[in-house]
Amino acid sequence: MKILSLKLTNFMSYKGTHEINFDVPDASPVILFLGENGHGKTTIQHAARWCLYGETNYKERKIPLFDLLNRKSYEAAPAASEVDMEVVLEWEDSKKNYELTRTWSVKKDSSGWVTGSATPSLRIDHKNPVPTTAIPEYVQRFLAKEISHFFFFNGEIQDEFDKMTSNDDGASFIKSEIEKTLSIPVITEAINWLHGKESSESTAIEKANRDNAKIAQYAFDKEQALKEKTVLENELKIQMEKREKARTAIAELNKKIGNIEEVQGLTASLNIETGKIDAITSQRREIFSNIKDHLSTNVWLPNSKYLLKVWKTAQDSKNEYEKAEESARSYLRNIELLSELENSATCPLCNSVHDNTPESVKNRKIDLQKKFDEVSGKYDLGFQGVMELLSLMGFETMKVSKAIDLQKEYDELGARLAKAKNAATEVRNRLSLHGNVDVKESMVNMRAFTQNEEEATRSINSYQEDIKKKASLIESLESAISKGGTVSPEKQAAYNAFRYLRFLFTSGKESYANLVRQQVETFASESFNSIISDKKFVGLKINDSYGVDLLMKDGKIEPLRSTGQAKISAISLINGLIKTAMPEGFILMDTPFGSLDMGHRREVCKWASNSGLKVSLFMHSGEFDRNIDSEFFGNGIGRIYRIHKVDDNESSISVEV
Amino acid sequence: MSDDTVAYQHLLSTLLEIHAKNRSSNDFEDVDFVDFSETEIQQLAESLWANRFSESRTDFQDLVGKLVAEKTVQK
Repeated sequence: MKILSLKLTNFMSYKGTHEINFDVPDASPVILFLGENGHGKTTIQHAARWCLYGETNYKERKIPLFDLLNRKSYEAAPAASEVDMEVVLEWEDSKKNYELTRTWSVKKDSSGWVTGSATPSLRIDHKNPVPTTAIPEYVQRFLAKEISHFFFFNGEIQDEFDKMTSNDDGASFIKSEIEKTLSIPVITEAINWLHGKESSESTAIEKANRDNAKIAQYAFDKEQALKEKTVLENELKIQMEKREKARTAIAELNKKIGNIEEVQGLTASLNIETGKIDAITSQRREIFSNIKDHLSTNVWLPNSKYLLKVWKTAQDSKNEYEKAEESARSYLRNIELLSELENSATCPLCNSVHDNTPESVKNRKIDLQKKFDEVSGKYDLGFQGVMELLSLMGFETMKVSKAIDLQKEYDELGARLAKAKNAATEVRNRLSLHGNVDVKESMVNMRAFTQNEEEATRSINSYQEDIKKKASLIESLESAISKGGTVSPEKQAAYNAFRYLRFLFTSGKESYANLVRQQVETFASESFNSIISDKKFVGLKINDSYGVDLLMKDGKIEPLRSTGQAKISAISLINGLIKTAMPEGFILMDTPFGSLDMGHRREVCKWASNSGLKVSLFMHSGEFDRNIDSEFFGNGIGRIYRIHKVDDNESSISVEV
Repeated sequence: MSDDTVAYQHLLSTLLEIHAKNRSSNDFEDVDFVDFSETEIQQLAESLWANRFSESRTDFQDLVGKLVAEKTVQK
C-alpha cells in the first residue's frame, strides 16, 4: 500500500494545479519536502486528508471548507463563474490502482457567496467510477480515518509525541488509537456480536426451557384432567345407568299404575257388590225370620212353599166357589126375574112389552136353574172344605198371606243377591287377571324411583358440565403443549456454535493483543535502537496501555526523560505499528527533526532510508543541509520537492533535480 | 490474502492454536461441541480482517451465519 501521487488544484495556497509524485523506488524510499514555515508543506497533508475524508483539521479544529479554497483563484474568478477546488490522490493497494478525486465546484455569484458541496469520485484501475456510496469503504480499507494521524504525523505539535509515549491519562487515548491500528476493536466488536448472538440463542433456549417446564406442567395438568375426566365419565355412566334403571322402573310402575287404577275401580265395585250382598243377605235373614213368625211353629218352614201352594189352590178354589156363588145368585135372580117376567106382561126391568114366548123363558129359567143347582152345590161343598183344610193345616190366612208377601220379597232379594254375587264374582275374576298389585307400595316405590331419576339427572347434568369443562381444559392444554417450546437441536447447536466462537475469539483476542503488543515493541525497539545514540538503552518497553518506557541493558525500565527521547520513541512506535499492522507502509512526517540533536537527526535519516516504509519528510529548508544530510540518508532520498511562497495566497512546488 | 500483515498472521496463528487445543481437549465434548475446521477458522479470521476498517462487519457476520447454519443443519 503506497501513495503514488497527489494532485492539488486551487487548494489552500496552491493556485492552479500542482502534482506531487510519491512513487519512488524501494531503495530510495524517502521524499523530502523542503520549504520555509508557512509556505505550504503542511498543506500537502491537509490536501491528502481532505481528499480522503472530505475534511481536515488543524489540531482539534476542523478547517472550514471555504478556507480550503485558494483565495487568489476565487478572487480572480469573474462574478457568476465557477471555480473548481480539487484534489486527486492516487494510491496502489494489492496491485490495484485507485484514483480518488474530490472536487468542490464553487459558484461565485454577484454578491460573492459560494454555493455547492464537494463530491468524491473513485476509479479503480482507471475504469468507470465506483458508486459514490462505496467510496468510504475503499478509503477506509486504504487508510482508516481513525488511525490516519499516525501516517500524517505532525512533529510540530509536541502533544502528538506526548500522547504517543505517555504513561499518564493520555495513554488511554493512544492505547485506543493503537488498538484501532491493530484491529483489536474489530475483534472486540466481533466478540460482542457473537455474544449477542449467543445471548439471543441462550435467551431463546432459556425461554424454551421455561416453556418446557410450563409444558411439563401442562402435560401433568392434562394427565390429571384426563384422569379426573375419566372418573367423571365413570360417575356419569353410573348415574346414567342409575337414571335408566329408575326410568325403567318408573315405566314399569307407570304401567302398573295404569292397572292399579283399574284395580282400584274393580275393588270399589267389588266392595259395592259385597255390601249389596251383605245388605241383601241381612234383609233376607230378617225376612226369613218374619216369615217364621207368621207361620205356625208346627209347620216346618221348608214346607211352607208347598203349603202355600196348597193354600193358593184352596184360595183359588174359594174364589171359584165365590164366583160360582155369585153366578148362582145371578142365576137365581135371573130365575126370579124370569119368574116375574113369566108372570108379567111388561118387562120388570124396562117396563116394555116383550113378545117373548113364555116357553123360551121357561126354558131359559130351567137352564139357569140347572146351572144354579150345579154351582150352588159346588160352592157349598168346596168352600167349606177348603176352609176346613186350611184350618186343619194351622194356617192363619192373614199370616200366611203376609208370609207369602215376605216370601215374595225374600225371593226378590234372593234374585238381587244372586245378581250381586254374580257381579262380585265377575269383578273378582277380573281382579285375578291383575295379579297381586300393592297399590300403596307401588306409589311409595314410584316416589322413590322418581326421586332417584331426578337425583341421577341432576348428577348427570353436573357431571356433563364438569366433563365439558375438563374437555375444554384438556383442549387448551393440548393446544399449549402443541405449540412446543422444546429446545430444538438446531437452536442448541447454534447456541453452542456462537458460544464456542465467542470463546475462541475472546481467548484469541487476549493472546493476539499480547502478541501484537510484543511485536510492536520488537519493531519499535529495532527502530529505536537504530536511531538512539545512547547505547545504554536496548529498546523500548511498551506496557499494556501502550505507554512507552526505556528498556535498559540490565533489564531495568526507565521513563522517557527528554523531548528527543519522546520523539524518537514516537517515531519508533509508529514504525512498529505500521510494520505490524500494514503490508506496506508509508508515513508523512512533518517537522521530524524538531528537538533532535545532530546525532539523532542523522539516525532518523538513516532510519527513514532503511525502515522499509515510504517516508515523506516535510522539513524546514533550514533543517536540511544537502552536504551533511545526503550523507545521512545515503541513497535513501528518492525525490526532493521544494516549496516556495509566491505571495501570501500562493505557493509553488517543484522537483529538485 | 491481500492483507498479509504481521498482525493478521498473529491473529490467525493465535486462533488456530487455541482452536487446536480446544479440539484436542475434552472441555467441549460434554456440551455438544460444534466443531469448526481449521479452514473455517481461517475463513473467519480473513473475513474479520477484511472488515477491520469497514463500518459494517457484514463479511464476518455473514460467514458466521453461514457456517452456523451449516453446522446446525448437520446436527
